[in-house]
Amino acid sequence: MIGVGILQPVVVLAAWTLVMWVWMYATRIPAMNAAKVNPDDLVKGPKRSLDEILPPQVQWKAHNYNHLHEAPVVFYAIALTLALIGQGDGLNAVLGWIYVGMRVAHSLVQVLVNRVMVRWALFMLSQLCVVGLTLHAAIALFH
Amino acid sequence: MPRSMLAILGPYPLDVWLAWGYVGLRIAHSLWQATVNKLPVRFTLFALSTLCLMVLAIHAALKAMGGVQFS
Repeated sequence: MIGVGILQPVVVLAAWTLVMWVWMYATRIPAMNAAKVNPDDLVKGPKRSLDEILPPQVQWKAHNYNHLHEAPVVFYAIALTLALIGQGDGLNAVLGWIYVGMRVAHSLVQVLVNRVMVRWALFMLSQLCVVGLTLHAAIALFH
Repeated sequence: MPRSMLAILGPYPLDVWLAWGYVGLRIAHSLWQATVNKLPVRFTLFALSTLCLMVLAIHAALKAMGGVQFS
């Protein structure tokens, strides 16, 4: 298979998302039990949120799990596009790995210490990778 | 996802136009929401873009079930 190296970081980021999913439950379910939350009460008003009930450190895991389904959507789309046209090796694969590294670091910072400026810097670096990958895909498809 | 499936399975002739229509409507939706943001127009743009997506999804489903004959 040629030109599909970028699929490796795609798989790793999907796997990392599942790790965060498990981490979220491992912290959130005990915290909900400790706070004696009745899950069915949460849906009785649009303003009711676990953010007001559970400790912030617990909710950080849930927030990051949600974030992993936002910006990375563009990475997945562009990485699959590059692989489909045989442009997923070399620099594009490296950018894919840097992207995944930044997103894993972003997750760890958010759920462990949640220093916003550090998070922001990591997010910016990850977005720069997507900018590069998108430009490369645009050049390859439109040139 | 219907779009990437159609790129693999081979699109119907109309599909490329539907995909461009989707992107054009989403950009118009962004511009409208970020500037004027009157709801009926936004709803219309969103509904039209989703119609494109529905047709693409149906085409992808038909292609994916390529072995099924509708005679």
